[in-house]
This record gives sequence, structure tokens and C-alpha cells, in this order.
Amino acid sequence: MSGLAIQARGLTRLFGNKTAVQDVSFDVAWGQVFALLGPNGAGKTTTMRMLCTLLRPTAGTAEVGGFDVTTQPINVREQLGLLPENPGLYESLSAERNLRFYGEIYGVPPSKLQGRIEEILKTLEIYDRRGDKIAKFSKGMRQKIAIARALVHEPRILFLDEPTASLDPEASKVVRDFILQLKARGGTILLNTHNLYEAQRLSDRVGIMNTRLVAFGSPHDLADRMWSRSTEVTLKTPDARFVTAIEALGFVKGVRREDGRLIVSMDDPDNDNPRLAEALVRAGAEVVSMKEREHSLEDIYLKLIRGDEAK
Amino acid sequence: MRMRKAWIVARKDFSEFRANKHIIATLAMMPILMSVFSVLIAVPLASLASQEPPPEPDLHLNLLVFYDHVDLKDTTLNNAWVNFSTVLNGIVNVSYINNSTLTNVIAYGSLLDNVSIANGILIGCVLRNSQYGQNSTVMIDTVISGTTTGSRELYKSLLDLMTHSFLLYFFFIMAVAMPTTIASYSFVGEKTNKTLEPLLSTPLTDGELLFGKYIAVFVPVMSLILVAFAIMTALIDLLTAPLLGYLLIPDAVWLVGVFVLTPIICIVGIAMNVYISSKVNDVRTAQQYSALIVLPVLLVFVIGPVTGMGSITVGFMTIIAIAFLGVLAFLVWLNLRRFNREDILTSWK
Ligand SMILES: Nc1ncnc2c1ncn2[C@@H]1O[C@H](COP(=O)(O)OP(=O)(O)OP(=O)(O)O)[C@@H](O)[C@H]1O
Ligand SMILES: [Mg+2]
Repeated sequence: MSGLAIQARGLTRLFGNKTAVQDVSFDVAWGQVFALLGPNGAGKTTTMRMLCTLLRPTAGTAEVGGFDVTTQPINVREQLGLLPENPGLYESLSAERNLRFYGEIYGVPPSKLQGRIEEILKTLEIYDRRGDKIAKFSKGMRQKIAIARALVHEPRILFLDEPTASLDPEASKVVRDFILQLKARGGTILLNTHNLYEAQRLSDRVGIMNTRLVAFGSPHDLADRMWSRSTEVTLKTPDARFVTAIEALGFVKGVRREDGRLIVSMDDPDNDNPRLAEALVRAGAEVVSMKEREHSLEDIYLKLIRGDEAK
Repeated sequence: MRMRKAWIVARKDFSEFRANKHIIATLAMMPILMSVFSVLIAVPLASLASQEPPPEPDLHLNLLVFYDHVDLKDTTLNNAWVNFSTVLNGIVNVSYINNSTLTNVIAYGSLLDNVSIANGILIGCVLRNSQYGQNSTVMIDTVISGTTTGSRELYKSLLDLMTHSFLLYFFFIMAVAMPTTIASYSFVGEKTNKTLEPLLSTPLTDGELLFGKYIAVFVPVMSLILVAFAIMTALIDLLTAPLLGYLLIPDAVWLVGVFVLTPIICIVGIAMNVYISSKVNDVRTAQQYSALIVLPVLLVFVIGPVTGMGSITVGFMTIIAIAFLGVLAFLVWLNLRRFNREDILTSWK
């Protein structure tokens, strides 16, 4: 396998004169899990549909598995498995019959298909309901069958549009663990979600979207780019004089007090934290703990989306 | 296009139909109703057409006057022998009329041989080798014999018209109307249940998907039509052969009708339904429009009788079949052209 799994270049989609997706570009390497994050109506589903050849881009191009979405749609569709926003299963058919239908369409050999269906249904903990009609299934069970359907032909690239949106915490965990398992086996996945925890746990890279792609990178890189690094110091008895003491240090770019803790901004905490500690002790402070401050994806997301909306 | 893929789509639809009791019930009703209906038409007509004529009574004619090659008008004839004449506005009593034409005549106790009667009243007469039926001719206690063309022949030709044209029309109507029921499940159902989005993300081509849907509707409809045909033929022959002494159906007209024209009409019906499905957003609207497509097909078959072609013939069906194949080619082309994945997702509900 060479090249990139997904390569989007300036993808744009209008509905009438409303812009749903504007100038979105990103790459997903083989074996990567990429999460598209964004509020409702951000254009995540529209982007995914363009990549799955279900919608034509108004402008821009994309390659999926090395094939162009507009000129080689069938080749593109052969590469992918899609979990759409809506499960769209055949209600009057059994779970197994639904999966068998899709397996046959993708040309999975009959000898392999049965084993494949059993394996996925067992992993998703829904094997004993395989013979029941979908009409009798709960929302979460349907979602699991729809995920199984997207995987029945072992696609090279998996598109999941909000895989855990309708699931209870336990079922969500089953699905997330399943995605992690696929990831561990080298699966390439594009994931739409507004669940930040999910994106952080599952993905190598995230794209934060609000019609445009506001930011793109690994959660860690994004944090680095948005905030300077900082160390969070907890003192037994906070005092203004300690702030003055450390502000005098050359490597310290700023100090803030937050809930009795000191937030010290600096470029290279790995190197300078020992000297920070030393300075504090010398000034008479009793240091309870010192740790580098992590920005959660939530911080990143909220800052970016709010910043974007303020524009 | 890979036929196997189309067949996979069709098989999935069959599984869905099988699971749907409403479809099964609706479809099973068709052959049953058709058989009952055809028997109700054919059996009474056959028994009327097969009635043996009663023996001619002896009229005890005592002929006293003789007319030959004359035109009689406003006269009363008693005990007369009339040859090669016309009688207009008269009364004929206990006479023998031969090779003549009677108009506006009341005849009583007479023997009429080889006459043509228009608007007459016959009481206690014998009508032999004659023609009647132009205008109303009332017959009371009158025996019809010989090669008279009248009621028995009328029943026979009515039986023929019913079993060879009228019942066959119903098969054509079934062929165009039945796809409506199934197609609305098969196509619009796939839209409304949102099952098309994942299906469209598979490597199926437009042609494979459309063709699969055509098969999915065609196979059950044609199977039912053939079942209806078999049951109807068996019932009609079983019940009418003892009366008529021969098998009423099938004949060339039926065979061409059921095995050539009906399948073509069925596919035309399917293609029209598919076209409607691509234009509307919900099952109810689709079914309402679909009801309308029966009309143009009906119209075609009204043209036959109206233009004097009378009952359906093999030639007439051949012309219609060729015309419908042309329509079909256009519809298939239109369906393929109009099949727009984008529309399905963005405007179909
Ligand atoms: N078929 C359509 N016709 C018109 N507008 C559409 C259509 N599909 C999407 N849109 C619009 O495009 C925008 C993006 O929609 P999209 O479904 O891609 O968002 P999303 O990020 O997936 O949202 P959500 O988190 O709610 O699923 C929305 O404003 C939506 O109203
Ligand atoms: Mg969405």
C-alpha cells in the first residue's frame, strides 16, 4: 500500500446557496484513525458523504484509497465500509440476512461469509440475536448491526458517522473497544463525532470542523499550537511573594493564579521545571505538587469553535 | 452490468416480501379473484350457448292463398304461402313464409323458413334457418331451429368475446396494476426506511440496482399471473368442456397474450412505477400516481374494439407488443438517466 488512504483537497459543498462544507483539506494515512469533530450542522456528514461518493463536491477533489471520488466512484466504493448517520437496516429481515445481503453484494465468497458474520456479531456481543428481525431490535442493537454491516467485507477504509450516538454507556464501550481493536489491527478509520472523549481515546488525529476545517492535527499538537506550555504548581500556602520570585526567572513567560494554584507559562518545562522548584523553595514556599498542565480536547474544541463563531 | 449483483438485490427483496403478510395477502387474492370471476362469466354463458334446440312442433298449416315475388304492405295474411316476398307492417296468421323479409310484422302460429325479421313479434311460431336481431324481435312460445342466427349463436359469440378478449384484458390490467403494490414497497420503501444510503455506498452500479429492482417486481407479478392463468384455464375447461364438448381455452390468442404481451406490459408498468418513484417522496403519492398509469394501458385496448377490430387477435397483440417495446426502451433509458444518487439522498424523504 502506498500513498494516503484519504486525501481531501478543497472539498466544498453547497445546498442551494447554503454552504455546508467549505474548502476542507486533510490527509489520512493508512492505519490512522481520524476524527472529524464539530457542532451540529458543521458539515461532518456532508464531508463523509462526499468521500463515500454519495454526494458530488461542488468544488474540490478527494481521493479515497487512491481513487478519485468523482471520476472513479465504483473503485472508491469497493474500498470502503460506511456506517451512515441512520442505520438503514431492512426491518423485516433478520440481522443475519441483512449482513448476508451486504456480504453478497461485495462479493464475499459464501464459504467465508458465514464465519465472518459470526465473528463480528460475537465481538459486538449480539450473536445470540442474529436470527431476530431488526424490527424487534433496540436502537443500540440496530447500531451494532449497522456497524457489523459496514465491516462484513473487511473494507480497507471504514467510515463511521457517530458510531456511539444512540448507545448507552455500556454499549458505547463495546463499540469503542471494538474500534480500538480494529485500530490495533491496522484499520484505517474516519470517524464523525461530537463526543470529545471518544475522539481523544480513539483517534490519532482530529479535524475540528465548522463548515471549514478550523484545525487539524493530533490532540497534543493542537494543544501545543494553541497554548504555550505551562506548569501547574500547588503550594501549601500560596502567597503573592512567591509569584514575584518566579516572575524574576528568565525562562518564565507569565504567572497566573487559579484556585490557589500557580500556572506558570514557559517554553520548555522539561528542562526548566527543576529550576522553578528550586526558586520556589528558596523563596520559602512549600511545594505540594508540580505537574505539566494538559489541555483536554474539550478545551481545544471549545476554544476553537467559540473563536470561530466569534468571527 | 453484472447480472449476479442484480439478482442478489432481487433476492433480498423477495425475502422482504415473504416477511410481509400484507403483500402476500394482496398478491394471493389476485389469482383467486381472477379465477372466481372468470368462472362466473364463462359457466353461465357456456350453459346458455350449449342448450339443445327443442323439436319443431307440427303446426297443422292449411294453406289457402299463395304469394310469390310480391311486396306486401299493411296487410293481414291468413293461411297464406308466401315465397320470395317482402312484408311490411302486417299480421301473419297460421301461414308458411319462405325466403322472405318481414318488417314490423306480428306473426302467429306460422312457419318461417329462411326469413329475415326486423322488429317483429312472433307468437307460437317456428323459426327455421333464419336471421333476426336487427331491432327488437320478441318471441313468445316460438321454436328456433336450423341455422337460425339468434340467441344461441349470440351466447356463443358472447362467450367467445368474454373468454378471449374480456378476460384477457383483465390479465393485461393485472400486469400493469400489480407492480404498483410491490414497487411501492420495493422502491419507495427503500427510500423511506433510509436503507438506500448504505446500499448506494456499495459498489453496485445504477444499472445493477435498477435491474435488480425490475426483477424483484417482475418475478412475483408474472408468477402470480401464470398461476392465475393456470387455475383459470383448469377451472373453465373443467366446468365448460362437458357443456360445449371442446376446450374453450387456451388458444393462440391466450398463449400469445399471456406469454408475450403480458410480460411486456408488466415491465412497462414497472418502469413507469420506477419513474414515478424517482419523482415523488412518499409511498402514498407514489401509489396515487401509479393508479393513473393503468389508464393509458386501458386506452390502448379500448382502441381495438372501437376501431372495429372487435375481439383481441394475435395480429393486434403483435402490433401492441411492438409499440410497448418502444415505450419500454424509452422508459428504461429515462430511468437510467434520471437515476440520480444525489437526489435520492438530498430530496427523497
Ligand atoms: N440534503 C440537504 N439539503 C439541504 N441542506 C443540507 C442537506 N444535507 C445537509 N444540509 C445542510 O448542510 C449543513 C451540514 O450538515 P451535515 O449533516 O453535514 O452536518 P453534521 O456536521 O453532520 O451535523 P450533525 O452533527 O447534526 O450530524 C447543515 O446546515 C444542513 O442543514
Ligand atoms: Mg451528521
